[in-house]
Amino acid sequence: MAAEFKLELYVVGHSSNSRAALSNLRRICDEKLKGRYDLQVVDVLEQPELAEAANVIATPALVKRAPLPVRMIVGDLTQTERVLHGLDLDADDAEGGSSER
Amino acid sequence: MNTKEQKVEKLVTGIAGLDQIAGGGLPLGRSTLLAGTAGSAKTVFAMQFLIEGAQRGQAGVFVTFEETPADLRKNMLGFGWDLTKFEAERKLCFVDASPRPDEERVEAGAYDFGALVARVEAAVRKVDAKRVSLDSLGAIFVQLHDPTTVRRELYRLSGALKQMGVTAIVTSERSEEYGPISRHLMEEFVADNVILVRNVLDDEKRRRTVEILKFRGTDHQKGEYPFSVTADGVIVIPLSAIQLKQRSTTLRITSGNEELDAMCGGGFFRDSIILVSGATGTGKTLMVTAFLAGGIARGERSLVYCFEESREQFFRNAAGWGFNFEQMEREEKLKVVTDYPEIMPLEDHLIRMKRIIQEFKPNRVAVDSLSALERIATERGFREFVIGLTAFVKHQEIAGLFTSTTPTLLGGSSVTEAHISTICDSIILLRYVEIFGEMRRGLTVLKMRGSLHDKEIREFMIDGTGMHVGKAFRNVGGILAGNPVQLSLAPEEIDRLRQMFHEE
Repeated sequence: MAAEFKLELYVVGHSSNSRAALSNLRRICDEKLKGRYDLQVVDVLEQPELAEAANVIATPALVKRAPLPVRMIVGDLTQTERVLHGLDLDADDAEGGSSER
Repeated sequence: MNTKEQKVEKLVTGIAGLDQIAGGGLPLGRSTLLAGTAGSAKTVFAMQFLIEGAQRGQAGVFVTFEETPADLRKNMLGFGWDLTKFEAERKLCFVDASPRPDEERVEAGAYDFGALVARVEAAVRKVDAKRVSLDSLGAIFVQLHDPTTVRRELYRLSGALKQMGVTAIVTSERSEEYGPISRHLMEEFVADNVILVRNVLDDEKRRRTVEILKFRGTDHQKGEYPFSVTADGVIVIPLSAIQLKQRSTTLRITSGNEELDAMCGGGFFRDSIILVSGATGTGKTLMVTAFLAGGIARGERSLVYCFEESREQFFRNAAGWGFNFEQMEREEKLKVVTDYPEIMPLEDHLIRMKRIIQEFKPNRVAVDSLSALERIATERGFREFVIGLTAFVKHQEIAGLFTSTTPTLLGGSSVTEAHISTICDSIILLRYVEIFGEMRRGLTVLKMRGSLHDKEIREFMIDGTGMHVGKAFRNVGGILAGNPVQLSLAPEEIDRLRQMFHEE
């Protein structure tokens, strides 16, 4: 079954912003989207053409492909409320059900 | 090695006129900020920089934050630039950072421009670019909302561009023509190399100017220079920055009239600028006609720009004085260009006139009259035009004869003369003289740089065979002041007065 949330995280190598974004994102996904998400991490230094295609200017950048609308959340994702808002998740959303994937 | 003594090298841009005022070109391997108000042609400059590079074998990357590549491809076709062709030849590459219509962006923490830098680097590598244009800073600030971060990251970007070894133009918005450099206080970019483009509304007319504000570590011309956006792109008019490699010549050419030649000490100099000033009807156009015909009769090519009459009128008048100009034009010894001054701005007239001179390669040029062109410009614009045209004509070692109309019938001087009398090498005045209830005409050579000349005011006659210079007016004073009066001085007195102004 396809994951409900399709996410792409664009990072720049192992910069501190990038590492912070990745760790913040994993935490949010584990808390709110357990078992419901698919995450692809793209290093713009290695695959700039993917950054070009997605029009990523600032990094780190989290792109929510699904569910629609497509949205880009820019930054190290420390501002959790903003991230949740961008993902259309309420701050006190109940944990997703079903088993781990 | 003392780095202070090392001057920054220049990259020849290829944009007409810009390289001259930039002391050779843009600082090589550096970023230059190009700031201007809305509609000041920044994007055209930025694109032309890459197009000229592509035509010289230097590939370029255009990073766009505002217009889409599709819109740019369409708009630039108007200048004859086929961007798709350059892209296919890998001479041009776009980094499309323009906002996508359905894009939503949220900021949730600290960020940097790592992806933008990576994308630009990838594009530069892809086509091995030597030039980069970034258009525009303002649009970045619109898309991303933390000005502190944006400024810091743009500084990083400028450092990255330097690392890539490319020469870059970065465009930026201004709110006022004569206010702060940029709307966004881009100190980092502003510190090094800045060019300002203006589109000033002056006395109901638009004047486009470009000014190199500063280049770090290298020289440039100061001040504003006019430019024009033509069908081929931007053309900057360097004016007094033109290398005046005017070798002064002692070679003389005919005015078309032997008596006038004698008054001028043998004729005009080969590369001189001659001003003929007089009220309407005093014979300026005839003098132009004689000038053109005199040259043709001696195997020269003549070119005239007529802003006072139609072609038919001009030919008819010439025929009335015995000159078959239609025949001469057919034989390509003469070219007659007529226009209403109002059809285009003065800068465009200048570009067109220079182009025609370059194509037709005349030995002598006439403009009848400068006063007609003065109508359509501001005082400053007109002065710049005159400087630009006369410098160009001298540079080509062509003789130029320009007419100017005095505002009143009997004399006085026009504003035109105030501007250009110092630029001209020779000045001939034509005036009405009221004697014994008749209007006669007087001619005098007021100035003839580098030569002795006749100081007398002679009578000037026009008949079916053209112009004739007669005897000097004796017993009449105040002709040039526009108030001719009979004098009743004894001949000895007159001689004494004349001696006073004799310069031998």
